[in-house]
Amino acid sequence: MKASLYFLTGLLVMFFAVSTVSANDKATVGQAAPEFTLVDSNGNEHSLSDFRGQFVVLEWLNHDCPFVRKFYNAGKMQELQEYYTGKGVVWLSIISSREGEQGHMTPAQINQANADKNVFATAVLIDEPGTVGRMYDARTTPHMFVINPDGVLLYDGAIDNKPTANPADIEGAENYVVAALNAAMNGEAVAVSTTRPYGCSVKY
Amino acid sequence: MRTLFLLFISFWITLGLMAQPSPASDHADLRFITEHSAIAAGGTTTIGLHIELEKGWHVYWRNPGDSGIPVRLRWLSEPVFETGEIAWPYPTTFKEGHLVTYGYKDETLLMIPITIPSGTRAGTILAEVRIEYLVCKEICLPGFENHTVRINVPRNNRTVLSPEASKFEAFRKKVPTNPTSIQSTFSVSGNQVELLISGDVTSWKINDTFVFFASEENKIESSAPQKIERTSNGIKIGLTTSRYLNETLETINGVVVFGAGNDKKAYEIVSYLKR
Repeated sequence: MKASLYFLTGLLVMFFAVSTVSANDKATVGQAAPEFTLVDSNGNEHSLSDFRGQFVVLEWLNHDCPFVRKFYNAGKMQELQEYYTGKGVVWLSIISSREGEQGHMTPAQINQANADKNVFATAVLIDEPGTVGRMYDARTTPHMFVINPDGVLLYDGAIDNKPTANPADIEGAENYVVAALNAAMNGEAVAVSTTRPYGCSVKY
Repeated sequence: MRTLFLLFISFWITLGLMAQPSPASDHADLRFITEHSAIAAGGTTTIGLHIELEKGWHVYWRNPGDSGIPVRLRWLSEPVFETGEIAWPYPTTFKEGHLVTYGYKDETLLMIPITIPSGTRAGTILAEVRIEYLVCKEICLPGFENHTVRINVPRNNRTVLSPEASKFEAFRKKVPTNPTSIQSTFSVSGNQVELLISGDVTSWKINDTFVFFASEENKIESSAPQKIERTSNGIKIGLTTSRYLNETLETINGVVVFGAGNDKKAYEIVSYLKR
């Protein structure tokens, strides 16, 4: 009897353990964003849970992708990074490109690009086996995610509503990341929380 | 003198930039062709954007699928002629890493019906059009080109087929038809969609070439497997809703393609939510 009770308790514990993991291993707006730990280009480890209490932006990055260049060459991505990190937002750029694929960079190359492009991201993380990218179902570069101070995913999708590689389309586009952050930081609901991302496919 | 020289240099550079093709232009050859080399005022003809692709590269259909950007046309000024909707040949599927996209390889022709207003004076009508597209082969390159469409309205008011007319004939066969003898409804349960095509579908071949291409973005997941089966009511297609669906599905528009080679069939499907 006692043994079977232990067994049942064990099963229950297992069940809850499994269900907790499964609730967190997929990115779904309105739910807890999947936890991860990655190493940045300076060798420092960062976990998503380190940043509880702060808004977090995840930006999937591939510097050779024309859609990423659209924003970096115009200085727009850096402008967003500078503005929001200045307001206490954590901005994590993540590279999931496999070695030998477009956009893959060594830590030294990332730091060089950060200097050359005047990047203001909090950190550029290396997701070499693509585990975190797959967990978030990051499809394109850029693909943007916004997470609130409680670790809840608020936005998943495109950077804006003009899916082109033309820098001239940045002005006049509705930037979904800006809209989500501004609304959430004002205590308002995020109006557009999921959109289809556009850009180059992530080179897993 | 030096100012003049600098002026000359900057002018020369500007010209050079203007003529410079977009990054995609090395892999895709775009040109406008006309079905008629002469078209009488009041007449209707078709113009076509002919796209020839380097081996291994592709461009995108009106719904590009999981990623990609459709070929887009924008008239730089209102053309003299009236234009209709683009007729898109049916697409093929591309696997790009973990994503599934829809588009064209080798060669395609996007056809636009046009009508020359009656009373148009004889001569050449010019219309400037901006084309934006994306060409991909593992990596993607953006394309943007300006083209001039030339329509010859002859003095003798006679309509003459152009040497390119056979291309229109060939690609028109690839444009899905809209059969009136079929109907379609669908139901949704969670993220699963069951789309039923009923009516005259007995001749439709269900094999592994059978694909449903949703023609609107963000409704159906293009990378999800499709379950096709024949039932007593017709053909049932099991689909998955898009992760980016942000509306209640009321209609699903798409194209069904099956068969191989010259036997390939393509039909437009307009499906309504079953009440």
